[in-house]
Amino acid sequence: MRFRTAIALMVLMALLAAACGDSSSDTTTADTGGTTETTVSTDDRGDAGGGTLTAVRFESFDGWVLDSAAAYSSYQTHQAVIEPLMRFGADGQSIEPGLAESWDYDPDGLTITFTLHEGANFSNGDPVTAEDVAFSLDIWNAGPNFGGSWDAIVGVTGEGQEIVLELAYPDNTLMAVLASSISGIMPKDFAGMTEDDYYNDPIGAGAFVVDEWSIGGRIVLTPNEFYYDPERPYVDELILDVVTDETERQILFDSGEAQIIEYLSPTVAPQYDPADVYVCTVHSVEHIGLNVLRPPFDDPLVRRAVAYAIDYDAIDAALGEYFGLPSGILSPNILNWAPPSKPYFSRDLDMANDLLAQSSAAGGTSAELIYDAGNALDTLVVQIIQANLAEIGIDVSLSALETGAFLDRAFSIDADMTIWNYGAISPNISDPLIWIYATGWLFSGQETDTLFDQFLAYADAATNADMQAIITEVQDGAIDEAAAIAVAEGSYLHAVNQNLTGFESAPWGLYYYDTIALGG
Amino acid sequence: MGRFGFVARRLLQTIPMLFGIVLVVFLVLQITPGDPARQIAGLRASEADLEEVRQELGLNDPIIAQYGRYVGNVLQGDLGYSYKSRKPVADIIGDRISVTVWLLSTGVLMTLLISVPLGVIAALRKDRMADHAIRGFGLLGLSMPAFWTGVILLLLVALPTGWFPAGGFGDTFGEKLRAIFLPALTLAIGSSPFIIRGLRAAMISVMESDYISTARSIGVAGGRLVRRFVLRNAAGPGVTLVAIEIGYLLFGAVVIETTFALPGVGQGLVIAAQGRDLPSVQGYTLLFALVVVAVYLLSDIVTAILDPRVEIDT
Repeated sequence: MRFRTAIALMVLMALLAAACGDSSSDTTTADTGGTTETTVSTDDRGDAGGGTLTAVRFESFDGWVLDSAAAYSSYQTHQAVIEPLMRFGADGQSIEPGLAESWDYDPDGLTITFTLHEGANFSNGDPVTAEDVAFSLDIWNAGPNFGGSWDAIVGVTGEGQEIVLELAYPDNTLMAVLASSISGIMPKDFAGMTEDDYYNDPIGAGAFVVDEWSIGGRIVLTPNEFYYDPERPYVDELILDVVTDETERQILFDSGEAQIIEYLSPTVAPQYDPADVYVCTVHSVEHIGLNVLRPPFDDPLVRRAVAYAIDYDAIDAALGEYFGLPSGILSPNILNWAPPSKPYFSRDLDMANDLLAQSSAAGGTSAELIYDAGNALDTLVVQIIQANLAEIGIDVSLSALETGAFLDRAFSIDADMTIWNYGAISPNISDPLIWIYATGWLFSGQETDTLFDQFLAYADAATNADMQAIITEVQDGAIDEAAAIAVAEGSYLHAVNQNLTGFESAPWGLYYYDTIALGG
Repeated sequence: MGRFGFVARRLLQTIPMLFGIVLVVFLVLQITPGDPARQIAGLRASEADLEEVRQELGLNDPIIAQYGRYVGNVLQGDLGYSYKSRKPVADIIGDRISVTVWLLSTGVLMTLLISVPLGVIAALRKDRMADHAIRGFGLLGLSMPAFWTGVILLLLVALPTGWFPAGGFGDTFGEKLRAIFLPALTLAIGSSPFIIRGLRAAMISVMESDYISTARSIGVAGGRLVRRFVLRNAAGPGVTLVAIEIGYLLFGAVVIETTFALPGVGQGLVIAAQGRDLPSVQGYTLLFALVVVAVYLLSDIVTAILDPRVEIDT
């Protein structure tokens, strides 16, 4: 009897709790036969304001050190709190006002004058000043990852709403860098906090302030009451959750408990209502790297044989509707992107066999292809490549590695072949160029001096046409060398509740939370 | 020495065990592929920056020196700092542990609420319909992996009824109870069969013993016989089983917390491992090992208290 009573009590308590719900929440959801309606309370931030927006991501946050951001979830979160001077447009090509409402170059390109929005304040109420920008610049420059990105800036001056950047030389890449989250503006001397304290409780001039956060855990952001735009953000609370299980992410979305699933895997996207899937403009590049530092791929003929042996159509078919054939090695749909001047690789087995017959690997060879075992797409593509290369006598052994182990070997150029997928974080083709440089030409070990010179020439080019000519040169060089071969191009995906308004994503998948309203 | 001596001896035995656990945790992560320096400095960091990080963290020191430093820190409660958040690992674990305590305590409670009555009924109705039905339920529970059970409960209970959240952990007591109900039930469905089976076997064994026949012959019967003679004597193996189950439940929490997006230490371990946050992984692993050792130790002590024969056996 007592056991039964205890069971009954337990169930009763849970049901009571279930029935009571959460009276403190501003957002309620109701299932209306297949669609989920979100009822939102309003406050003084505009007619569409209020409610809790919950976005779910699979990768954990890297913390608040801007330079340490490696995951897209980190770039995404940083820009909400530590806002840069400018923003990128959803088209992937434009730069829009951020903390600065306008900017002007002087004719010789050596001075940029920014005018801040009136009321551009940090979340502690202090106004953003040139001193804060100068301090931030020092922090950015000291970063081991992106530290060289602001080399052109030699001075920061200005008074009131005016910020003047003095450059040592004109730099075409600078504006895109300044619009990315790695250029977030921090208060001078961390607003009197120690560095560690600041990164535990950051202060920025973004639309949100940090209410709670943890690595791998929930991040709760609330509106910055000192934000320059009193209308934004449109929500009362932003919750960012890490959920590693794909099924659980979908259940949270279907139940209405999460309104956005960031970076949806193309393999699970078909399980969502197509109307909920936000497809970014094609941008990501799936590529293989061939190690040019040792046999068999130190021979360009072998590399080109590989390039012609790959069945790009088969990969395209296998990867589904969100991927397509590659147009070049550089991420498309980004400012100043340009195609190669020659056709990109396509499958030609006769050509592949001829090239291999003339090469140092005539008669066949073997190679190891390493890949991130956690990446379902890579796992699929490597099997196609293995089968393709077997047709020309290259025996490929596949090594599935844990992500960290993969990156260690890839960055050390310690594998015959690698496969990876990359995109940008800012609206300029210079961003992928930096990544390609940092990875030793996409893990191939190909010399990067030429690329570096091309990057400098790009930064210094007089016109967009000149810049695009350099990009074409880079693309052509990639075809000639065949050290890194693009095998597919694809779109980043998000699942977005259809009741949201103001959601717009750049091709590389980043977007701004403060423009989103619930219930539109 | 009696039972006090037994407890003292078991406490002393745990000390070398704990050092062994710390050593294994340290060594396993030493041989794990991947460069911690790159994890800290970032993917684009130069070799010079990586070397600076290695020097700063003492990663170039001999392994024995690193182990000595690690043990010294652990003994002072310092589990190191997260590579990612720069926060003390002990604090990170502290932030998550309450969720797991909620899950485990509710899970154990549900397990007991399900398994003790069913175990007793199965034993009392041995080889009858009720016994077969309960054993069938046990087989079903054992054959369903926790992640699958969890997803089924979400799809069949949480989504259609809206009574329980599809994931996460609330702020208020009511929210927490709602959030923990299905995960705890999932744990209980998976762990109850072990307890039911163990308790049934122990009770049947006790009921066939001479002293029960004696008790019956002097007129003790029904609920009094079960409570005072059978259950009391069958409790020893039952406590050990529950202790073993808590160990399993702890590892089951890794799966359950991932399935239900509960921000406990199980989910923390998964995320730390994915992010290659090695100090955090070390901290979580050490915690899991310590909890298992502590639970087993506690079960030995409770068994010693419940069962007078323990001092004779040892």
